[in-house]
Parts: sequence; structure tokens; C-alpha cells
Amino acid sequence: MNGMIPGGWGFVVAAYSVTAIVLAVYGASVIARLRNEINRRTHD
Amino acid sequence: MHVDNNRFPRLPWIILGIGILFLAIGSYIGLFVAPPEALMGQVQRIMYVHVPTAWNALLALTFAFVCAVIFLFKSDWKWDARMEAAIEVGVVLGFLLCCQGSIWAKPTWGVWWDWDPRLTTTAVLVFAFLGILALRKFVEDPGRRAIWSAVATIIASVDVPIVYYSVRWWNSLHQLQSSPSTVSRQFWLPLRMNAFGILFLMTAFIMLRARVASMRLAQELVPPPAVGENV
Repeated sequence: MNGMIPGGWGFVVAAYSVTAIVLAVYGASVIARLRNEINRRTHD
Repeated sequence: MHVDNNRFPRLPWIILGIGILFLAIGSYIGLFVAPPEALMGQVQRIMYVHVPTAWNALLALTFAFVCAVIFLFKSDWKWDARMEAAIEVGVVLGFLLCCQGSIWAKPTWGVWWDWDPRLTTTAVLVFAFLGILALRKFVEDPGRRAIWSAVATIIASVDVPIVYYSVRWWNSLHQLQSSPSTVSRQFWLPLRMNAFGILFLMTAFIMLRARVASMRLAQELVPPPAVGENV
């Protein structure tokens, strides 16, 4: 044993997955809201 | 009244694409090329997303502060829209920061969360700005909403430097700030790539979200039609 934390890939995968999901979902929500506003403006 | 400022419609999409590219390359290097750290092993790879998220969350909320000050001086609506966008993006990055931090804390500290100064001040920051977004939802009058939320943003922004310096001012479980000068050269590239990746993503999100806010404001600020006027 050399003091290094063993394993840990599960935590790494979890952190990167959370990052990808949060950024993708937020990005999609911004784009959806922008499309809604553009559509509303063209209908008005 | 000119609110919807959309001179470069393609610019945010280009910045978004560059951000995704940087993040993809940075994450690949961070996950598969950079060596594990001597003590934390593989878990240290979380740094390549956690630290850039922290920098950019603080940057977004600092930009919200700048927008609030400029709005109060100039009363230009585009700064209100930019402030709203920067707060929302800052809150999302702050929430993501707390999630990543929890995932990193469990294998290194043994707990998902601890009320230490860095974590506590970060939680206060996220909830303070979340409160400002709630305030903007509930106040219908655009003028009052803009002024109240600008003042609240300036007050909440006091916590930004407190979060940054909390690890130096108080005895904290959290390590000191990471930067290219405090980490091994082998870790620089993925850290910088992801820092720029999230910076570009954050910039694109703020630009697109500000456009949404501007379009909503433009509709709110249209004067009501006069009696007998065709709508």
C-alpha cells in the first residue's frame, strides 16, 4: 500500500456524466426557449 | 425602445461549437492520457471538470455583478437581459460545481458533504442567486424587477470573493485554489483545455439566454394599444 486511493473510476465516470448531462440539458433548454421566442415573434 | 440586440446571430453557435470541441479533447486527455495523481489516484481526474466549472461559475456571477452595476448607471435594458442570463448560467454552473465536489469528496474526505467554509459559502452563493431568479419570476413590472434584481445581485456578489478566498481565510477541509502553477505540468493541458471549453460554453449560453431575455423584455415593453387602435 502506497497511500494512493484505490479504484475511483466509478466516481470519475459519475462526475463526468453529471457534467455532460447538466450542460446538455441546460443547453437544450436555452435553445428550446430561444426557438419558442422566435416562433412567438413570427406568429405575432 | 431597442432591447433585442442581435447583431451577430451566428456568433454564439460558433462559440458553442468551439466549447464542445475543447471540452471533448480536454476530457479525453484528462480521462485517458494524463497520469493518475500520486495520492488521489484516478479520482484526481475529477479536477479537470471541477476546477474549470468553479472558475467559470465565479466568472459568470462576476459578470452578472458588472451587468447590474452598468444597468443601474445606464438604465439600458440589454444589461438587464445580460444580468438575467449570467445569473442563470452561474447558478447552473454553481449547482454542477456542488455535484462534482460531492462526488470528489466521498472518496477523498469520506463524506458527500461537509459544512466547511468553502462548501458553505458556495452553497450560500448558489441559493442567493437562485433567490434573485425567483425574485425576477415574481415581479411583473419590468422596471422594478430590473432595479431590485440589480441591487440584490450587487449584494449577493459580495459572496463571490468570499468563496474564492475562504480556503485561505479559514481552516478548510478543501484544498487551496488550483492553477497551472500549483499542479504538475502533466495536468496542465486537460485543465486548460476544459477551462477554455467551459468558458466558451458559458459565453455561448449567456449570449443565447440573453437573447431570450431580450425578446421577452421587448414584448413586455411594447406600449399597450390605444383605444380603437387595430391590434
